[in-house]
Amino acid sequence: MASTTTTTTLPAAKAAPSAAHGRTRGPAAPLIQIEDLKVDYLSSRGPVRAVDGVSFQLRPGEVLGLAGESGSGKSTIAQAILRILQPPAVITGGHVRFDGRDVLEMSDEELLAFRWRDVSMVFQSAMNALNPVMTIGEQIVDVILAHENLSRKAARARARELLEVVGIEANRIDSYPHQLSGGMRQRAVIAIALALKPPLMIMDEPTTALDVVVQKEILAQITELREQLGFSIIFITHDLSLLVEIADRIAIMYAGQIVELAAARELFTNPLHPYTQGLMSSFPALTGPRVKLAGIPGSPPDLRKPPSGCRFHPRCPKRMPICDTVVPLLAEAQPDHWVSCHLYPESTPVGAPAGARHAIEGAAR
Amino acid sequence: MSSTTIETPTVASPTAPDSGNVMEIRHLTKRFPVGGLFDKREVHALEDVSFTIPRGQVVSLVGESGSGKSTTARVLARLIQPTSGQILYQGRDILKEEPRRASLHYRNEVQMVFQDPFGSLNPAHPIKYLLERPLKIHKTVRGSAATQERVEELLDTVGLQPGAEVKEKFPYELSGGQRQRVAFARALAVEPKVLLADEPVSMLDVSIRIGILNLMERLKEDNGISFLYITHDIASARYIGDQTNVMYAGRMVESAESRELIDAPAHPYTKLLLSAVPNPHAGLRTDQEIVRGEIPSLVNPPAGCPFAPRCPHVMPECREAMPGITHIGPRHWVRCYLHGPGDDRAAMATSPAAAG
Repeated sequence: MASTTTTTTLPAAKAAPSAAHGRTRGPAAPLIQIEDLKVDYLSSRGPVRAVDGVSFQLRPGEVLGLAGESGSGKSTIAQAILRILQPPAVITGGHVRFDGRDVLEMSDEELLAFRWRDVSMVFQSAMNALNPVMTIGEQIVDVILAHENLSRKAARARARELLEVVGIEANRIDSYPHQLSGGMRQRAVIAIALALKPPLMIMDEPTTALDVVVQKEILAQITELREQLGFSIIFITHDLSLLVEIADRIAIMYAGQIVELAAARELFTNPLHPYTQGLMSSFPALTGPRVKLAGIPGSPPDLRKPPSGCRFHPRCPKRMPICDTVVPLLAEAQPDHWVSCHLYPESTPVGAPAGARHAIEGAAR
Repeated sequence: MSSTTIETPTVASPTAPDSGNVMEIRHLTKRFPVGGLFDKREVHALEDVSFTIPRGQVVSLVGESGSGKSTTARVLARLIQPTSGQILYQGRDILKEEPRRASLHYRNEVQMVFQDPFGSLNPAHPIKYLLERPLKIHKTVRGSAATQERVEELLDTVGLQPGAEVKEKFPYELSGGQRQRVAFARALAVEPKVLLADEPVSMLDVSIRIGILNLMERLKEDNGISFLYITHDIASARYIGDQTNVMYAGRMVESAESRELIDAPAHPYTKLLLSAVPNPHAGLRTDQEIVRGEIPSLVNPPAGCPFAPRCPHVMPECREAMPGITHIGPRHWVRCYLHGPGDDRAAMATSPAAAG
């Protein structure tokens, strides 16, 4: 972690992408702002930096996709935002500003109010996120009563409403999780996350365990709910093709850092970072000519000893000498399109050795 | 981003029409008993499944979880015993010849690769031990020098270099993709003719998957291995599969050359499956059929087509009996009344050799 750099300007969508969905909010006031977030996992052999200087912000109503492979730090970011990281994971730097307050400085009471009321989360294994010995109704009522001064009867009425909102018949309120199919359970988990109508939901791989047909239904449901209720989503997944359909903007993570951030369509049609380009050539298309794909050689780095300079350089087909030593900055190489790669002069910090920016023949072979 | 067009796969070597298929599966049925003494019920995991694996081709099985894909592979690997049906391997009726358990010879020639490379490799042993074992059990090489040479050669085949270094490592020292390559090396150790690959890439990172699929393609081309590739990812079936079979609720509902299946799907379920795949390249697909629901319970299922409860085109006859096979192209058949009642006997002859 030689030179961690604090980006002064934050990548944000200038043209409010939510406008396309009928909401016209001012360009100001991001809902949540993450600045230079750092998370370490403490180990006997020294700290492992799982999230290294990540910054982004989210507007009200926006869906931000966070994509990356396992170990890229995407789930760790989600847990850091809610401050539910368990030791040995420790937040070692940065800010998470929500509504003018820094989440990282909240007291325990403030956190209790913040979690679920301001930000709720749909976890990766939603199948197991439900308590198997409580009915789904009880589990929703629990959440409501923990945060709101309501009678049990009123809370139960709310729970019925919530189930209908997510497409479960209200008379299933007394069902136990095992009586529901995978897709229904996922809907129930979303109902719990919606219980307090938070302005932001974090969804960590919400459809990964589901079949494609059910996945499609859940995604359609999420999109519909967002249009009705107007909440924002941080949608975490490894499935880039899915993000292109649901997200307004996408951030690509690699080895604990955001390497590219742009509007979903733009990122898909014009990927700038060689890693993103590699990802795009990693999933076979359903239509068009059958072409041989290359994927990305090598495997993601061991974060106990991350590569120097750009962390992607050992796998990069466009590697240059500068990449071995100088850490690139996440910079706006094209309007609203942020990338962290020395191929784009904006990414190279001022004062870096000149003349090192030419391609190495046969790099990463 | 390299892009060289894959050549059209050559159809099974034109020898005797019967030997075009390395495996032929006929009317395979598997029922698992569930329930207690007074409540005898059965899970119909596989119902009348027939298909062929042509020599040197990749046959894909796609479908949702619970559709019977993995059960099919496990029956073919002889890990579970089918309730009824025939498995013809190289023309031999192996369920008849080896009724109780498979011979060493069969297990040698038909190998399986599992989904989870973290669970399928014994963590207590170095890679070389994992690869030596099949060599010793099946006595394919003799002498320790020859064994070590073969181990390194195997690692080289699956793209793990340098073999001399990799073989000393333990599974935990390898990434998921590398482990899955070891799993392939282990299966290859005994020089199999058929590899049954059960979701071999679904647990791997996106950037690694293509490498494994390309490895399978290479093993097919260079070593002439036939594959049964099981996946829920229909796009990857199109990428490496020569023929793709679609399964639903224990039944095989459609089979076609992989590209044709996607370009001209005939069964309403295949259409549903295709419309659900996230496809950023698309924007063209207009025939989206909105169907809700999930795979029905396989415990004592009602008669008729299992897709009938969800099918947008359901007709009265669909609820009475499962239709037979209707051929709608040289290598394309479907079991759906929309295309005809089908012919039950046709289930026997579904091979491209027989149909084409």
